[in-house]
Amino acid sequence: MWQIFKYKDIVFFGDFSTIFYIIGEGRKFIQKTKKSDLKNMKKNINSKAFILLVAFLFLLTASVAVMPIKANTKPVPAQVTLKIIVSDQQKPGVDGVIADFLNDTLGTGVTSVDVVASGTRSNDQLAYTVALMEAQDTEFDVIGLDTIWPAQFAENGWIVELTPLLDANEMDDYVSGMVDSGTYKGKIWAYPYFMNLGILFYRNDLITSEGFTPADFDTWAELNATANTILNNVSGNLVNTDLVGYVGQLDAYEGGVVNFFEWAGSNGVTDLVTSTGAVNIDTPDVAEAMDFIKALVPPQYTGVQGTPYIIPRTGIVDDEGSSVGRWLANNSIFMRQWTFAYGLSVDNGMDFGVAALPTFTGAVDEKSSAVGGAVLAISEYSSNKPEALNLIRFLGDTLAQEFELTNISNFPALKSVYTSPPPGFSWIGDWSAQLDRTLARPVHPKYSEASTIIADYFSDLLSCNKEVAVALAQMDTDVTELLSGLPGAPIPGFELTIIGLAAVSMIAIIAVYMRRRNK
Amino acid sequence: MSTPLLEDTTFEMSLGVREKPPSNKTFLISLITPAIFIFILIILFPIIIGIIVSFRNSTGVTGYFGDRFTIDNFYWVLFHGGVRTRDFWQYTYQTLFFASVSLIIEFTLGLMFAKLLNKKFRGRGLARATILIPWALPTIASATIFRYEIFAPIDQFGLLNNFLELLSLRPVAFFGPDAEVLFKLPTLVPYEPFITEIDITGTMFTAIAIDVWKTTPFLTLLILAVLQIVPEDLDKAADIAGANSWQKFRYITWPLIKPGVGVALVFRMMDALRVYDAIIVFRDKEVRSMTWHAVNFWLNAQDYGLASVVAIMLFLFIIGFALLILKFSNREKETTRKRKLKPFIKKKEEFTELSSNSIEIEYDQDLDSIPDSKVRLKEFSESKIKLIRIKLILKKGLFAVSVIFMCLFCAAPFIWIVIRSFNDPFIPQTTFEYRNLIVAITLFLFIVSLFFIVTKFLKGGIKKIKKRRIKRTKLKEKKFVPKELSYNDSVNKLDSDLTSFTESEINSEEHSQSNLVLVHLILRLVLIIGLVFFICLFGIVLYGWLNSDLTSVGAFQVVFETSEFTGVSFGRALLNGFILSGLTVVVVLIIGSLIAYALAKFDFSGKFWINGFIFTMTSLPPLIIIIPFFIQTATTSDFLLENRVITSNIILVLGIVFVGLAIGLYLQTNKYKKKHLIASISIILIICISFFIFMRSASSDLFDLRDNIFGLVFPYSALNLPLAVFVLQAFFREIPEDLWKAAKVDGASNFQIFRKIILPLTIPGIFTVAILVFIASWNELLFAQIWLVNDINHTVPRAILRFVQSPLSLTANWDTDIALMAATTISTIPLVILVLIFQKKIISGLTRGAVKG
Repeated sequence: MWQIFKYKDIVFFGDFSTIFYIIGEGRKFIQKTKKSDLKNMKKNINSKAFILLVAFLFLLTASVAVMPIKANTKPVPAQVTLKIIVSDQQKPGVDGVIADFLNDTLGTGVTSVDVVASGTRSNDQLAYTVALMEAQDTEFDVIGLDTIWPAQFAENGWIVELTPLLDANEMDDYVSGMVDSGTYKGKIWAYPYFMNLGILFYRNDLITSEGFTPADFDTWAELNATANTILNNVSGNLVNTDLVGYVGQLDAYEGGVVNFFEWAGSNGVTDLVTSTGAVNIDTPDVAEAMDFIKALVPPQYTGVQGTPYIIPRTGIVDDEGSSVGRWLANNSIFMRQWTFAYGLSVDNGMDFGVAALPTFTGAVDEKSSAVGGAVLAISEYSSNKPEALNLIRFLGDTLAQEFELTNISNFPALKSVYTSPPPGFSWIGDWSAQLDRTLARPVHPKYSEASTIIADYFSDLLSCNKEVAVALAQMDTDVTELLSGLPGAPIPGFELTIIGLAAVSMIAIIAVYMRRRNK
Repeated sequence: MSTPLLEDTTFEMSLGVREKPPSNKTFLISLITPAIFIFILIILFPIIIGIIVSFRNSTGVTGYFGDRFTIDNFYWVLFHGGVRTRDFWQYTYQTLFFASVSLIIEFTLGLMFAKLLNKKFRGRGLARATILIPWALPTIASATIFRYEIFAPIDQFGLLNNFLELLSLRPVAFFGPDAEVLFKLPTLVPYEPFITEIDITGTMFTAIAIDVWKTTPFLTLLILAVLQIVPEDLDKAADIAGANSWQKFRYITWPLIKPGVGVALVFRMMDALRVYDAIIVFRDKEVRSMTWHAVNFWLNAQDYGLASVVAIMLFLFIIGFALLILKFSNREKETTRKRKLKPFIKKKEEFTELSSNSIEIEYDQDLDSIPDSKVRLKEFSESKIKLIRIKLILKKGLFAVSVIFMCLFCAAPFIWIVIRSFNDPFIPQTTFEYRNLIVAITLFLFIVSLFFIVTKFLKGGIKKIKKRRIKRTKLKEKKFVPKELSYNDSVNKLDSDLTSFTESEINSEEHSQSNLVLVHLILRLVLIIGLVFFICLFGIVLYGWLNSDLTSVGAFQVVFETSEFTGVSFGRALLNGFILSGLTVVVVLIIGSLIAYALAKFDFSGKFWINGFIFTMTSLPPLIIIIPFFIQTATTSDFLLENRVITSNIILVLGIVFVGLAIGLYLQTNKYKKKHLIASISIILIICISFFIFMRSASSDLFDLRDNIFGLVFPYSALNLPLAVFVLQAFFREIPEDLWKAAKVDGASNFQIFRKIILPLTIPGIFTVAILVFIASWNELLFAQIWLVNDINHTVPRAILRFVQSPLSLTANWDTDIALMAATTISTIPLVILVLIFQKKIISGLTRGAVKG
């Protein structure tokens, strides 16, 4: 018996003499058939091939023994190479601190860290990472995730639960919205890395020229009034006729859903979808918020922009790109945007300010800023889990978090960076007040699918294609149905019926085909 | 296996050949095996896995194969009245609507374009190359550009809306919730209300417009190929008989091209039903397709079972549609086709008879009653000629307008893209820049006038004038010597002369004395005006370009310098795309030509099934095979990496076997030229051994097919094989069997015949396939998106995605739309140049066969 090949932990043994025997038989067969009459060939092949096939299979099964052997052969290496997969956006931040990690005490025993980027677009990253996990790939130890994925990955058992591995109060140092994003069914699955926050941008020049201060738009009603006053142009200072009051991400996609959650959250509804699958969409509070927001958009396209509608009709197909485009072209007074627009606005030389998103009540404890960004998790299929945990702890620590801020302009998830900012970044201290108002998106494995449904109904609601009450009720029903799972087929023996029908139709098709062919 | 066709026993008998010819069986097997191997590996396994998964409760939680058998997936998607079922039927009807409407429009336009391009006119090559432009653009790029640049709302600087405003018309919402609901489509569904209505909005037609623009060229090409089988004399006969062009089309062209067009439509329909890239940019429920639904299940929910059900349903729809179209187009055999054509040939004879009779009667009266018949005859013929000429001029005008429309349709968006990519990306756009529009329009007019002036009046014009002069003088001589001829003869003569006039084109010189002088004067005036216009336009464009920021190449710099942002430059993507597409072309050509040869020239029992297999492969939604294939590759890679030693041993053995084969072939063909023999053997051995050493070294990751462009060669080849087989098959079929027999008599082996006789004869076909496959794999996105993770491995469309809705496109301080256009221009221009250079070969390749089979 010889070792033929080895696959993972299984070693296949076989006897080469049998293989030679089979080859010899095959040769004989070929020689024989060559000699035989061409016309009778078909017959010969049919009978001979059958016999040979049977013989071949018999010999194969008889002689080639498959013996799985538990591998003790692979010695545990003293030095570990970690592999981490992150998005293009996260890659430079990780790359920059790898050297520090290897010199740090946390990096003891790790020889090197390979950083692989999984793409620029959220969908690509998800596609690749899911495919990787589904193939149970052992290649990667640490996975960088978008804030909305941990529940999905946790439910599928692709990532390791962190709760027992972490210290009791370790998560208190991080922004609550980020921690919530990584928490599913009361357990922590992902470690905060960096944050993206929905905030309100306002044009300082326009606001001050009309005598307003940021305190004048603490609530949505005040914001509406302020924008209307500026747009009415009583003082005659306004030159730009393309100016609109407010832009956000209102198209039917994830961005629109975030805006929806923020508006609901700013009216006190933070548990639209809970991790246990309870749905609270069709409630009076949400309806109240939506009624107000809907009144900001013209009910149909008129070709003219202006008061009393502060959101332009074409604004309901805006996404991040087009809304920031309007903003940078100086065509908007207010903008709800992620933090990335801050740097762009500074580069563009704009006179602007940022504030927390307004609420409906004006209360400071309403959560109105949704978080995005990245969290880190450990792959279930990793063979270096302790080292991987050390790596994600290091990436969540002050050094890496400050690097993230100073070199990549991402907002850290670590609170202490906001209270004692690195030199030159003292302005980040202004944000510390908003950290407690961060709102995590629903943490549920079916979130992405539910998000599509919410986006569609939200778009219908904003564009007045559906009444608010109707849209919310349908949204509630559909999301509930989606999250609660589906009943089995109602008819007993339903499966058998269907299979029977399929078989009958298949036979019918074949029969018809054969009849035709005979004709 | 039955006796091959080519074993012609009577032929052997006549030559007195006693010995039996070498069996074709082994040769046949060696022809078919590689293709079958690829089909099984890339297509059959994944399909089977897909079908199995659809009957398992497979989700992310239970794993890909689930833990039990269930039919619930089908119940939830098809019959349960919940949100998934409603969505499924809505998307299904939308997909069917999308596919059928876009197919009808594409077919009409494609037929028109093909008819135009089938006529001979100067500059046809350029026109043909122009219509190929949309095809060469990556779909995702064109869809994004249409969504964000051309159909965008007015305050988002949308081209069309601003153009409408310029004409003081009301702006239109081309997509989004404001797109008008055009009508409600009642649909039948298998759950509670049983009949529901779905809204067909303007967004649907916007998506259709994008799809039509993108894919009409391909259909045009295929229809153009089919049109070649319409014999010219039938058309001419109908001309004589006075049939108008509709009648000509209805009774002569259509019956002939119907089967071929059917096949072309099937190819197109499959793509239309699988639509994904063109609709995804709208984020609108009203345009979502079945593929979108499957992707949603698979990616967002990890409900692999449900995704497989949708994919299988799509697959069934495609097969159903294909059968429907094929039944409608009624693919008959050659004999029945001829039999069906008989009435038309008869009709043609009748037409000729009838028309000559009618003319005869007229002349009879004229010539009998009036003594000076010659003069009358001349006058009559001249008046008739005048009429025909004026008609011809009108026709030509119409023709020119249609050609311009065609070029405008295909080239205008591309010109817009090129113009926009010369804007400065670092200046944010605050208003719509009409300057761009004006420059685009002038540039287009400039190109058209250039096109016309060069082709119509300058290039080769002199030659044609000379030719016509000779023709005319001959005509003159004949016309006025009717004495020796009988009455009927002379009339027939005149008739044929008239027809030859209709063929000839208007020109000066000859009939200066006739009233046509005016026409020629006008033509000349047009020429002069055209030249002046041309020079003015040139000036305007040059001035506009030089005095604006359109000279900026900042966008191109940005595209190539994105390495600062993403780590890897766009140039690397171009190189990767070139390597991957090149390799795919090579593999497809080798495997495709082998199997096509077997299918075209041999008759064997499994032929029907192999054809069916290839057909199935074409109709497969790529989605259904992606994850299984990914798992397959991951496992194979792991296996190869674990067994590096044994794998490299096997490859060494295979290499030695190939060396042996090479030696054998060499000895067989080149008659013992030892020097060459030793040289080639040593080269092959060196390559083998170095390869062996390279593989044995632990650092090589050649075996890791994940995130590796080499891993994509196989799926790309498999997806492109069907078209290659269909095209090549038609070529091989055309090669006369006598050649084969002659070579056989000379003692050539099967392989020698294939290599030395058959292949050189099909070079145009091979060329066509190469270009088709190259463009297809250059622009492929779905696989590349999931496969190629590292920037360093990106192909071109994958790299273009950096500029579409990525974090980079949001945080960059330059206008990513402009960068996207620049990237699109860069990725398209090599293909356009390639097409421009080789368009003759592509067309001739396609027109030889393509869909005739």
